[in-house]
Amino acid sequence: MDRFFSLQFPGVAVVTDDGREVSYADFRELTETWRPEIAPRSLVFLLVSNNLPSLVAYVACLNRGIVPLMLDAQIDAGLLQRFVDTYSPNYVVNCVAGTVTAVSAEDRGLHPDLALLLTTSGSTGSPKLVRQSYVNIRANTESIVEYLKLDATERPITTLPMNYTYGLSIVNTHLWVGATLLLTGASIMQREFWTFFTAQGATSFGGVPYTYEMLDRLMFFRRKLPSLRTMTQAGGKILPELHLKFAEHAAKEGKNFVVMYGQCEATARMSYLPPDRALDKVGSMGVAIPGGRFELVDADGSLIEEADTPGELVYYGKNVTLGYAECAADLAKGDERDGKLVTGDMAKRDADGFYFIVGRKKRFLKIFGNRVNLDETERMIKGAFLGMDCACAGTDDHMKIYLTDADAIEKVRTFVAEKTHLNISAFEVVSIDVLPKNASGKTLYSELN
Amino acid sequence: MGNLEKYLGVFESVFGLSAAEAETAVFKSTRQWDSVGHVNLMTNIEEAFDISLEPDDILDFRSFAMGKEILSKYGIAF
Repeated sequence: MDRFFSLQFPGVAVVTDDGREVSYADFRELTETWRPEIAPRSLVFLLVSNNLPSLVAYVACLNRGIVPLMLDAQIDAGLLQRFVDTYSPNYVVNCVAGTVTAVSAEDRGLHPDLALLLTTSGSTGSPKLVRQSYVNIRANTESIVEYLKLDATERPITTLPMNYTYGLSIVNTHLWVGATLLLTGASIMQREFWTFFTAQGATSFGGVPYTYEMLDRLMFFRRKLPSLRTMTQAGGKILPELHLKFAEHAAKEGKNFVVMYGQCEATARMSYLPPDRALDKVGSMGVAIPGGRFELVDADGSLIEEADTPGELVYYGKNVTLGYAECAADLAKGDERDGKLVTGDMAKRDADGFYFIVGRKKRFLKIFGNRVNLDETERMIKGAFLGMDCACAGTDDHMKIYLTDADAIEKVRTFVAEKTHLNISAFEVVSIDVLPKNASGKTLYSELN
Repeated sequence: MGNLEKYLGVFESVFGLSAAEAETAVFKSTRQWDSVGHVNLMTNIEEAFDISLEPDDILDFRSFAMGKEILSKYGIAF
């Protein structure tokens, strides 16, 4: 099999924040010699962070036909065990601790198209995975490279984890063109990040809506960053005011601000707002990426042709993934979607053909860019706090949890933050005497608040 | 209320830390004091002391102890 990533480039593949430079030739060598005991078509859990061993392991897996499930190295031990019990991997490789644990010696019977597994919904306990194929990743990577006009002179700095589809797409697209990844575990809230950024002349970064709120808080616009060319945004809808602010700054400084939309189910990206339209289409997620197209469908399933009429957003493209996995047997399955993804997001299209997200069909929130399923969170709380009723609602970056037990408020708040690995400030817990329910016992979320 | 009580109060309300825990609190080590927690801490400190922190000071605010030094630049004595 041909290598997925050619890695046939003259330059530097990676610079780490301790100053180490790794050429493409050396990087290729590292991936070829990585864990020789792991055979092609093995199932491997990779516990990763933004460090060199994680990147080598990921690329080695794709290039050698090993199928990785990418997980945050900080994953809750109980949740990791659940994944292990559900999928029984051949190996668990911790790229931070540097350990390899052989779990199962059995052939996992992985479908030949299957390249990569990613989690869907943060860490609310669901072991549901997205199955991505080699064709999916290649198609999405080539499309992103085309619309962002990426080349070997790019030097993106990491701001997102590589177990997160958006972070991983930044890795994929830049290794694809022979660019140099600036790898750091530091966040934008750390001086080391900015020192590394300036010293290494970073040309781009990506951010979820909350990243841009933090940048705004840090008076980002006062910072002189001559090397910066492009800022991309995805992982949820950015506030229009913030979109405008960053688009104006980019226009003034001769940089690009690119709003995008995507889902793990579509590998990573489905739309982008061309940077030269960032100012006149504030609030828009743009147009379909090269090679993809959208449709809007009304409640009866009919196509919506009129402008400014909301409907469910449906995407077609080669980057639409194979489907989900909920148990080990699902990993033998092939393509279940045939290039069509019903996104679950409600959108409208303006007269110029630009799309705007207006709502969501499914009950989940995006918290700091992570999808958190509200029903799963409810089940998780009820499972841990027996004899108490609970309902989860709220808005992006702010989940509101209603409990029928006032004494449990602080405990539940800490529990949810710890289980989801998301900052506790995203969760507001309030008590309520009785949850509003209909005759069949379903919670009436519209009556909360 | 004295400045130290106010300062401790912010650590308690943002991270749920006792006075003893707060005094040894360090960014990225103390539970919930991650990037998101840091923004909340900064916002709450600004509100408690009615100041506006400079970006450099936000980046340098790495621990309970360093925070006290930074606040002294804003005329807040402990």
